[in-house]
Amino acid sequence: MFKKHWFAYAALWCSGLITILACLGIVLFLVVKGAHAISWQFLFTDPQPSMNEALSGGILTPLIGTILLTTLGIVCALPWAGATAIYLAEYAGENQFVNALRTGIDVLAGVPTIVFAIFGLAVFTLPQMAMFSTIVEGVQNAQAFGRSFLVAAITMAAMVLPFVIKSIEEAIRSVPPSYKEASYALGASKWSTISCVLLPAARAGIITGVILGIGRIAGDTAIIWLCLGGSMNMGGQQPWWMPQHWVSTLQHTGSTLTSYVYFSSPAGEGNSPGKAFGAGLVLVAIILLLNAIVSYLGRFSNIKEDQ
Amino acid sequence: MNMEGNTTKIVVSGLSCWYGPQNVLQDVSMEIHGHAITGLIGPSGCGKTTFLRTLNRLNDLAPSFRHQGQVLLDGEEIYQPKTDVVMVRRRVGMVFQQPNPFPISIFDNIALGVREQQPRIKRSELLDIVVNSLKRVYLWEEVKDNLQDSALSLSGGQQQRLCLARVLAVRPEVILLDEPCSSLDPVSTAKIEELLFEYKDEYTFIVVTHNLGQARRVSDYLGFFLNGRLMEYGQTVDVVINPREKETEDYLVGSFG
Amino acid sequence: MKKNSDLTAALATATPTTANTVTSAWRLKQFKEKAIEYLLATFTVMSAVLIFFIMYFVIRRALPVFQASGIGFIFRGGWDAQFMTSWQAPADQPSWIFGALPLVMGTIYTTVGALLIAIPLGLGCAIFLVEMCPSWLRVPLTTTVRLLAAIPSVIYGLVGLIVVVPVIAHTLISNQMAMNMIDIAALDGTSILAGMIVLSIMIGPIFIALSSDALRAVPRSYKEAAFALGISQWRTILKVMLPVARQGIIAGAILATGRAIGEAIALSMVSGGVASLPDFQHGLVFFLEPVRTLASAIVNNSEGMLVPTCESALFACATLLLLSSVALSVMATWVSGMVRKGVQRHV
Repeated sequence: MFKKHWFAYAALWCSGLITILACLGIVLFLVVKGAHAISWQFLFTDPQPSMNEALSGGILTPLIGTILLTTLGIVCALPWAGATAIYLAEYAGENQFVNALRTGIDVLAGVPTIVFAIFGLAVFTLPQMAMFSTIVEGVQNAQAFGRSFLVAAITMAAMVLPFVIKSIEEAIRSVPPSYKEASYALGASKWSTISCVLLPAARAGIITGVILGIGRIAGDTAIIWLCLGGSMNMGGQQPWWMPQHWVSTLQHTGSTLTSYVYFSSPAGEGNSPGKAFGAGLVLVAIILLLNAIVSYLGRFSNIKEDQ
Repeated sequence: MNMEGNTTKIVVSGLSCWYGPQNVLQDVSMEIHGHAITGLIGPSGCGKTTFLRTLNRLNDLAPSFRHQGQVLLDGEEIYQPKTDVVMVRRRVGMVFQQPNPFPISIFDNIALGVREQQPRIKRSELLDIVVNSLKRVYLWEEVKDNLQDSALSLSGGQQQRLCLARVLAVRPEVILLDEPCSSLDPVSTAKIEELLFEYKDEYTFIVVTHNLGQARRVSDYLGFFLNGRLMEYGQTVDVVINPREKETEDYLVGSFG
Repeated sequence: MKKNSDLTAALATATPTTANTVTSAWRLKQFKEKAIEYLLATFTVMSAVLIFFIMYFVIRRALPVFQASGIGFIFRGGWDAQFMTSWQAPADQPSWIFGALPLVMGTIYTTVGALLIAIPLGLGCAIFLVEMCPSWLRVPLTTTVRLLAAIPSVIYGLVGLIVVVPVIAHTLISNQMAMNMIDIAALDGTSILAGMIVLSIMIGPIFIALSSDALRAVPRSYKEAAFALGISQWRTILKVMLPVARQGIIAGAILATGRAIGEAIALSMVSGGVASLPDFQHGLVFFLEPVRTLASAIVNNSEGMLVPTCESALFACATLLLLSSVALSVMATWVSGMVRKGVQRHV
């Protein structure tokens, strides 16, 4: 029955299988190459600069850096994205002006992260922005250094903005209209309805948006490279984990898993490819975990409800 | 209505169908006569559409579909592993409840099926077939100047006639119609019914309809389905005037719908 | 049902218990509502104009190089040499002239190459996923596509560097070839080919996801009508479904292109450290030559941020990237807007 177009059907099957093989290939390769590097010591030791791979320490600082950065980034992004999403879903109409706003946000989604990175640098090297990083001493025109956790976090927030807006807006829109109508019918004001009825009902979708945003921030390297620097350890006053030094830590450079992978690979210093794979494996594991959570939450989402 | 010398076109015996666990048809047997119009009536959900779609193997598209029993087209079982489904569907065409012309030009709607059937057909021959098909459904006069316009710009009745023309162009032997007039106005409905009468001698029509009046007007044979069973089947005259089953009588009278 | 009790509780919190009459309390409440609305609107407008801020800041820093180099920035070469001289130039003799032709062509070559691989393969995978996939394979395949889209670019770069680059170096580059090319570039495996391969795997998933969405949106009635006419599955896909899904597929391709143009990290790892302009006259060796793109140059030349002239050149690269990505985004929105509006439109 398929004889006539067997070639087409075979080609289609091949495309599907190649895709699966590519993904499995990458993940398996990471596991094979990186698994041996992973140990408690690996996860909980700071990286040491060393030509000898065995002495080059673990990934504690980059791991903490990733966690710190994603938390800061999403904390900056969420209010902004949430406010925009609520406005677009509940207050804005369907006119030319609103369409222009939406286009402005959509365009943001297509901007490469390296451009966000360099934009962040352009903004935060202005002397007025010195509070976010440090001042570079002894240069002709005083510039802020422009690289720090704060700078990177704010830039990440801008980068991830359109995606989180879209997720939250969809989540709000998918709340059954009957919830809203019931609330209004009882005399509640618009904001009360939104804050007490809509947002809690859209909980699952909002969390999904947040997690997707975290995944994007955790996986980005371009912004880290330009806005956080490629150093292995935390800048700022040591020991960085003491509360009195927290502000200093945030104002200085550091590293995350992504910059660590880049740094340790042959493209960077290249001294510890095994560690690079280990860190890469940890990074991918974190991202897979986040995606799994999103899938799990999808079951609670309103979006699939049939009215 | 000449009943003499009619061959049997399709023989269904012991047909039962399931969508997953749901048993939609139970043990249906009937002989469909060629060159006649067979009407299928029954309340919603009684399985008549499923039955219709079994005849051109369109139910294969539903992933959980399962069947038991025989369906013979001109004596040959159409559900054999070696059957060419494409050929079956060329011989048994279908017009759907909602008119569904392709979102392309009127000309291309008809030409698409013909080109698939005869890939190397000459342009002039193709044109002849298209014009002929449109004339047969009395659409030619209305669209002859606008053949390149989108088929979606036609009215509902025109679209449905276009769908019929599209089927006629590939020269099937049997044409299945699934409530073809349910979304049309009375004038368009009358036009479609006229077409069925006119081409009865060339094709075999099987029409599922919700409209008892239409069933009485149009069909030579009538089958009444209820809850997945074929309750009654015979010449329309007999079924309508002298129904054997009480349920048939109740349905015809309008006790339930 | 849990949902109902949640709703009841929420409604109880939302609704006031005292009657609303025109009192000062009511006026205060109205004021509060309006204030909130304006606050939300402000955030929204901020989100929408962010793109203009980005354009302002990036173009402003790039202006010196654009003014000095003119349109030659795009059409003239010599990036590596210029970077070197500018970096070493004394502070009172800055050199603002740069030619980024190798970078522009590098971007175009890698992007086009990646599209040539990713679009046929991706379209095939999308068709397979929607039309022919057996149900036991559907979930694994969809998950796979989603995962591929989520993997960070640095991982692609890493795997590309450890797997693809050495394979290219050992199987395709002979010693003789390397000797021949020694004056032009070092052939060590980092190349256009490696960039194309890695990039195509990175942009494939986006394209697959959008194309399969477009195919799934084709009304089922068209498929049924075609099947009922005796048209086989493959011919139905080719002649009915693909034309109807065309605009969604094109929107997917545009988005994939945008992603390919902007990819910086993975390409900086696998496509080469030299900003040379690969020459077609070298025949197939063309694919094995190192190349740098606008995006990867910003990463690879990032030490230049310390010198104002070099920094401006990098901003100029970013400007080109920004403008092209904005153009592509607008195009994609326009194309998919046409898809959103019409459920049925003439194809």
